[in-house]
Amino acid sequence: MSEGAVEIKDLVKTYVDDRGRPTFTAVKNINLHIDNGEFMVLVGPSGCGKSTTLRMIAGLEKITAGSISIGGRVVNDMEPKDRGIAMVFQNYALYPHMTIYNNMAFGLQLAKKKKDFISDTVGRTAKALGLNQMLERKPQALSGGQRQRVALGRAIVRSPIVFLFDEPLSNLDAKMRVQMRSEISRLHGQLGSTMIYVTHDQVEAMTMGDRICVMRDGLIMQVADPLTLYRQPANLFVAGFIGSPPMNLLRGKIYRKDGGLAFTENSEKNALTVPLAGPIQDLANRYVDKEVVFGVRPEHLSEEVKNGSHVTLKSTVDIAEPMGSESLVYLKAGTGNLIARIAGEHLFHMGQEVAVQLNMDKIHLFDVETEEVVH
Amino acid sequence: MTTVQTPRKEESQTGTVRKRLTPTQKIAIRKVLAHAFLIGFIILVLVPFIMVISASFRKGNFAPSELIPDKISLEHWKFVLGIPYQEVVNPATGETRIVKAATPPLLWFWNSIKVSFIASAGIIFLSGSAAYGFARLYFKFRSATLGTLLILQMFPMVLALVAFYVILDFTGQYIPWLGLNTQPGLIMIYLGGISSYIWMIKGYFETIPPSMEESARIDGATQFQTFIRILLPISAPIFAVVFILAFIGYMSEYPVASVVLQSSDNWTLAVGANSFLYEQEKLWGRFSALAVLSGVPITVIFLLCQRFIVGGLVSGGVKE
Amino acid sequence: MTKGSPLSLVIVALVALPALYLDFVLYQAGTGWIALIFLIIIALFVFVYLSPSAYTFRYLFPGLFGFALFVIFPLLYTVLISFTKYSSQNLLPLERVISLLRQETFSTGGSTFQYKLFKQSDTQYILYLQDEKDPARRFASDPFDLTVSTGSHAISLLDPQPLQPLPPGQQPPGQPLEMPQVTRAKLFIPMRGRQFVLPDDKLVSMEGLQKFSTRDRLWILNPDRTLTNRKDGTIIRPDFRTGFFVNEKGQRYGVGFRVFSGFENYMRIVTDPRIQGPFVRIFVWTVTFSALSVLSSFGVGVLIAVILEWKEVRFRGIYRTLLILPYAVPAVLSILIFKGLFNQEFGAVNEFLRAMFHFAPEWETNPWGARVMLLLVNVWLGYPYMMLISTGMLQSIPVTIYEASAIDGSNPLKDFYHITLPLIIPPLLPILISSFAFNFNNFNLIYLLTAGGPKMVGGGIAGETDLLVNYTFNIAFRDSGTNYGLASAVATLLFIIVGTLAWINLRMSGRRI
Ligand SMILES: Nc1ncnc2c1ncn2[C@@H]1O[C@H](COP(=O)(O)OP(=O)(O)O)[C@@H](O)[C@H]1O
Ligand SMILES: [Mg+2]
Repeated sequence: MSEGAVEIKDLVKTYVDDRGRPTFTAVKNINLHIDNGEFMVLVGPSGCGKSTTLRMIAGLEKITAGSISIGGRVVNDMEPKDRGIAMVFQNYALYPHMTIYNNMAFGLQLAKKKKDFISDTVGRTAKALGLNQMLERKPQALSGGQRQRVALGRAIVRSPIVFLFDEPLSNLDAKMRVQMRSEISRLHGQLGSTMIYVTHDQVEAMTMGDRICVMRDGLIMQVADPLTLYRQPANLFVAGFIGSPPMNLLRGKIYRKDGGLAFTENSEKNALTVPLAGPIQDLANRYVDKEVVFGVRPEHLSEEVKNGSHVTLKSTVDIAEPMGSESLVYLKAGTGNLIARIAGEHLFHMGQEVAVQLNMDKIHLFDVETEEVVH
Repeated sequence: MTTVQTPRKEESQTGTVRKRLTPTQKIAIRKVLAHAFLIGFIILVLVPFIMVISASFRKGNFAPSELIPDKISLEHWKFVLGIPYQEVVNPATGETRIVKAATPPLLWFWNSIKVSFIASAGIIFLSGSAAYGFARLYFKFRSATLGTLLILQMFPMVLALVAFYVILDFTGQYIPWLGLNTQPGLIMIYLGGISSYIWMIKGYFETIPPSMEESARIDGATQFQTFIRILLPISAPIFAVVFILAFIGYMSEYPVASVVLQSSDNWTLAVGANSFLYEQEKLWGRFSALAVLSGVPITVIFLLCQRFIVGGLVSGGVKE
Repeated sequence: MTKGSPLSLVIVALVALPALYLDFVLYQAGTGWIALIFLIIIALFVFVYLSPSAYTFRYLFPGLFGFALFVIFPLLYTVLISFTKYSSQNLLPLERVISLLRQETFSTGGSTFQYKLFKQSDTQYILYLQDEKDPARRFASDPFDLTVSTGSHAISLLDPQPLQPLPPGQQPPGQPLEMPQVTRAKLFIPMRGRQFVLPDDKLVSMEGLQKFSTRDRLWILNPDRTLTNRKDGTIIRPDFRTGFFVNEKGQRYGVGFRVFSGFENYMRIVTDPRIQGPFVRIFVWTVTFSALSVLSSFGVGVLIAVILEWKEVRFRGIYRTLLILPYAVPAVLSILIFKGLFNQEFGAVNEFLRAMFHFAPEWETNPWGARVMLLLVNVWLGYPYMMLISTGMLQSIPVTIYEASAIDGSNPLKDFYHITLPLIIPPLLPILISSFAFNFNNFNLIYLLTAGGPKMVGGGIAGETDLLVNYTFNIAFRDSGTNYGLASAVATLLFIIVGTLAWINLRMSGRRI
């Protein structure tokens, strides 16, 4: 079955002003395939065109070029209601003058469904969401989380084949956010519908998505499942965007040194130098005397050696943030600043000397020009 | 919020030679001053109204000048309400006559209510739908049109009287009930003054997030349904404000009404009230009775809707 | 988008069909251009409401149509008139003046007629004539209105009624009136003013009580639109500079007609001392009045708003309600009430001042007294609005700012000048400007309170307290003025001034359009 598959081809969106003159191109030619039943997250910094993309799928924005198909049908010129979609907005977009019941029933009433059917569907959905006690209330009388549930309910009642979420949790407090996150995930499990979920929060993206589409400036940077995205970022942007704290990225050059290769940070003196070992040397070979960006995740700087090739770096502690079972340690090695996630219940002091082990199997090198990862 | 009340620190030792008051004393003095000022101002506001009420009950036609009438009489009220009453014509002989208004002045008030009500309802319809177009739909020269509306509306109605006369004279030849000296004709002209209201309503629409209408669209509502069933109910407060402002504005409109409406049974309140105050003979008593009778209901309505209006004025920022 | 549903078709038809009928009537009545424009509007209407591509304009059409008819048309019409000579002296279009001249007759001693009036309805009559010498020559008119016209010269403006020959033996319908009925003033006066025209273009009108007689037209219309006098052969031609018919020597005949006069009206404003003098003075007063009105209403309004925001003051709700009163009462009534209170001899204000201070300002006869009175009344009328909007602004200022300034050793007065005013004035500026524009054109206040008085010495119809709008109104509509052309020129200038102000306001407020 592919009825919920969404296919985006060469999609472009250029906003125009009143006179039809182009003002801003928010989406610049993207291609994306979303499988039936998949939970796809669009993530990226604010203003990168996620909402625009989602709204084009919903039919709320005109498509400038390219095409969108849902379940194999091109929907470019279809009214939103005919696309088999439902959408949950960041501000919930509940109708303030209607009761919760009418909010959820509105779409069905417009579709001229039978009264019994409507009350049955709404009742069942409300019950499943724990809203059945407040059907006669108006949205003002509800808390943020309850409102968000109503918005969800309103979407579910339409029994769409594709759910669209535009930052649905960003108006909630932290605790509520975590709770709703898992509720939406559970909902996805139960309904099995395709869901496209927009967020700027990479934690949300990582925890919820089957696959994640990272966007920047109207372009897709990488589409992959969360682990791949984390382990094998395709470019500098993804490497820096995914992960918290972010990957350590140092700009420098590859030199031949003592018969081997070494990465040296760009600096007048006292530059951080990392002798390269292990498989990474093959990649580095192509960049001798050239600039690269050297990347390593904080958890790959550790105190004790695990298996694989390691390089020891001498560094001093700048600031330490003990978190209990582990610490985030801001290190200074030469002129280089590194963050390390060090396991164990330690306390670090400012100025303390630490020798960290850098796991050479987890190193990424990025081309400075293309910002792509070096394979 | 509190410009005056925030407790202030005593000035330092090196400070003033002035007699030192404790902060509590200072505040007490300020409070007394504030009350005195406000009460004084309220007296200035109320005295004219009290004098008018008094003049309406005073025998004879004197300009409002007393707080309590010396000789009480209901003659002006009777006249305004169209009730006949006896008047002494010649005090020496005791000769009397029956006085009854040919056109009961209360009719003018009723005419004004009619004209203002229908015109305001029309304004709501015209400016509401246009504001929707300007706020939510996109078309060429949208902002240019909006600016033009605002600027052209600056042309005062008074100066367009010649043209209004021409228009109504023309329409009257073909549609007699829409010509000169008809209330529908006047209402029609009043319907032209929509642009400040368009701005007000549009401003309000723009404070409403479009996502509700988008959500309705996904739910299957047509554009028109979205407008009628989502945006309009949400915007009820601004429509109330516009209605009241337009209504009060039309109740007070004088020049156009005085030119368009010629026969006294068609007059509006403004024209009729002014007609009592001829250069030669100023019938203050009758005017006062009419003013009280018609001013009170409107004032009460306004005060009841005060909260609405204030909100709308602040958000719309347009004076009429 | 939305397709034309059957319902919308029915609604469009319900509007369009009567409109089309009306258009047909207009066309039949010979108003070709207007009928054409109307037809275009109907077509536009049908297109907008049926074509999906014009969907957006369905919401805009009614409003914009009304706006075009009642704001834009009057404006353009006024601008157009400002370029014409159009006044009580040059009132009618050229064609009407020609036809009026053509109604002038002289007695030729031709046939005389017996007449009867046949009553058709309360106001409608048919005239019946029978030649005294040749009783077989009989004529009857169509039914026509006979009422005493209100306008003084309206009677002579009516076109002659055509008479048709009556076939032998036939009588006009209706009841013939008896002589005493005919000679009643109500019928006789309008009857005496009417002219009728025989099939051979001879005019007939009443001569004495009993008879009608033929009269010949005095002027013959030549193909080149000159007129020749049949009695003495004088030829007169329209002079398009003065808007009168003149003979060779420049002597004027008949009434004037409207002519295009270019910038003459505008030049008069600039050069004619009788207009320019008052114009400049009135302009200065208008600006002063508007500026002072705005400043003082704002000052009073803000002061009260600040005090009412002070939480320590009790009964703030009652105070606020009472203080809004002047805004709630219809302004016409308040203005007229003040007219009574400020009455120079008997008004309450002067009685009070006389009793307290032995002092009675001349509110009506002294220009300065009148101006002060206008400002006082206008502040009274205007401060509640300023109070309302500044209250809104004050409530948006965070309290913490005042707390911070208190720690810095400020006092209420300093707070007001250094914090409150700088914070609320910029956002209120657009409102202050539109309030200025409103007062610039505050016709009602001046018209109802002082009627412009006292008169400006040597200023003609100008009054010392007239605003530009009132002055324009006087030029156009006061009996001694009635110069529509000149009034329109002033109105156009006025519009340019206020329109520019509005434009600047629009720019400054930077509201997202
Ligand atoms: N109606 C519009 N007209 C012009 N530019 C717009 C419009 N809507 C959004 N944009 C611009 O398009 C870009 C992408 O917007 P959006 O898709 O909302 O970003 P986000 O990824 O944060 O959801 C932003 O830079 C925004 O400023
Ligand atoms: Mg967004």
